[in-house]
Amino acid sequence: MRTRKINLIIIYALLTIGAVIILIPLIWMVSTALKTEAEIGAWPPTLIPRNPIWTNFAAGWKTQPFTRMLINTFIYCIGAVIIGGFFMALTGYVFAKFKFRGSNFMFIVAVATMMIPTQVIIIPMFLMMKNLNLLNTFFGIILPEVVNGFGIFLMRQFFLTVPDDIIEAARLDGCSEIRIFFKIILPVSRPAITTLIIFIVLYRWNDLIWPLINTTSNNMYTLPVGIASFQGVQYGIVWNNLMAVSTLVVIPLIILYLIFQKYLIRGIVLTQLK
Amino acid sequence: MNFVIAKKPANWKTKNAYIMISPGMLLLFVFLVVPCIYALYISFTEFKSGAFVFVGLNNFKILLKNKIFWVSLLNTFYYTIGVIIPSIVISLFIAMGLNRKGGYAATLRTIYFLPVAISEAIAAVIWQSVLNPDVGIANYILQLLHFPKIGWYADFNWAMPTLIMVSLWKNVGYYMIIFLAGLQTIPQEYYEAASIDGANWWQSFRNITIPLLRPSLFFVYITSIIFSFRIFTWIYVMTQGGPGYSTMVTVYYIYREGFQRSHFGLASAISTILLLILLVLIIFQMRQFRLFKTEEEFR
Repeated sequence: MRTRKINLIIIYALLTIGAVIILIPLIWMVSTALKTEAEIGAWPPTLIPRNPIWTNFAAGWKTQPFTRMLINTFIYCIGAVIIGGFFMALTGYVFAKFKFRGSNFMFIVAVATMMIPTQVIIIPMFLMMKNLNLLNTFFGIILPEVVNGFGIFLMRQFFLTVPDDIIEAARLDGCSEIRIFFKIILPVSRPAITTLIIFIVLYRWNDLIWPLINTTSNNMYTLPVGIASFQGVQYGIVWNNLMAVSTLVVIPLIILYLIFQKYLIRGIVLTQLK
Repeated sequence: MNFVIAKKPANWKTKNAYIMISPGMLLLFVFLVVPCIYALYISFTEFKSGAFVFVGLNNFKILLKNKIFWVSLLNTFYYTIGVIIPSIVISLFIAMGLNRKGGYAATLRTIYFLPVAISEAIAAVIWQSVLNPDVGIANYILQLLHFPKIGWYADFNWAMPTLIMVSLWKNVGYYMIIFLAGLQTIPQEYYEAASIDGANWWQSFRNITIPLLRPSLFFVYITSIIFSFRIFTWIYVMTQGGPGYSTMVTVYYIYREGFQRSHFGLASAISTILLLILLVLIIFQMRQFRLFKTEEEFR
């Protein structure tokens, strides 16, 4: 018993060190955001700034049209949620509840597309968007991968758990199939839909490649592109400005994460193969 | 009412299914499958003064003789294998440690999962500052612990391990959740029975945890392969494929040839070869996909 207790202490000590490693970059980000340029270049580095410069936040935010980029990011995420979310839910529902010729094959193709790395299709996609005159438009950023294997798979896994009885009952009442989906299925799938929305937003929020190649003006950039290309437009990197902007973007997200953590975890559990 | 439904043709359900599935599948097809085919077509052409000229297998011939291309493939495998093994080991360790009730375990779980919410591009910028060889805090911590300073992303040999490390930072929490979910499906009685039989920690880990955790292990394995092949943002922000070609992975090479040098044909030829490699991998994994399908039908 005593060795077990000692083991537990060692394990928790290691886990705590790991958690500190997870947090260091975030603490460092806030710290750098508040420093003067001289203090950033000093060795040894300080973790708590000597004179915190709170105006760095406003100054950093003004270096690029970040407000515009924030709005773009919102539009981009909402567009992907509306288009992708609806069609992926519908497609996942059909795969879960209907058997028809080719359904297995189509499902395997949809799942297999998850394996395709985005970069493999960036050139054809860029050319397609160019020919469709969709460069520098929201559609040009939203449409690539708007329906993807992962979302279809996620929704199918969920709809498999919805009992057939309620669908059959609605059919007997003469409900049309699409009405069943809207009136019966969607209301009982709120947790799964929430999860799907979180996954779409997370995917778009993490994505750099589509807004990077399908936009040329920084008025159409998303926040990740704006922050990633900060170094290109500046002479060298103004670290305190860059970190100030990152802080302004990351902190609200952490708060959102703490609120929605439950749904996110539920979604990850749902995608597991059983 | 029943009568009305019985009179509908036998395939009315199928017809409805086709109607409902077609917009989603069409979007998937047009914006995922068609580009793959289009890439194949472009790979047989060369982009010259605004037009695509058919050049046959020329791009592939150039590629096979191109050293950077081979280096990029090797780097992709280096990175993939370098990520998969620690992903599984570390996140399984964390999950097993945190698979208990209690406020502290819950707090640690929340912290480990935190990086999932931070955009990769922003995370890369932050890490670039943390790992700055001259003034970053990482080297300062190493110095406090009496280790020599490291060049991290600016050092030829350290650049790839650095990328592996930062992507572990980002993804370990995600895998941890998958393992936690898997661990919670294992009945506690199994472990109790094993310990009554005198099994030690390692024996019950090997004979109970690993076999019963196989679905989660498989899922983490597949997901980390998918994530690895997609690595782009970290490289775009932190190394641009350098120093030298030490972090030039295939997908970044596609971007560089295509968008920085307008070699659309050559870049698409790289895409085509990468797709072929992946296709082999997918077919190889197909058995596993089939596996979970048939299991589903049993339920």
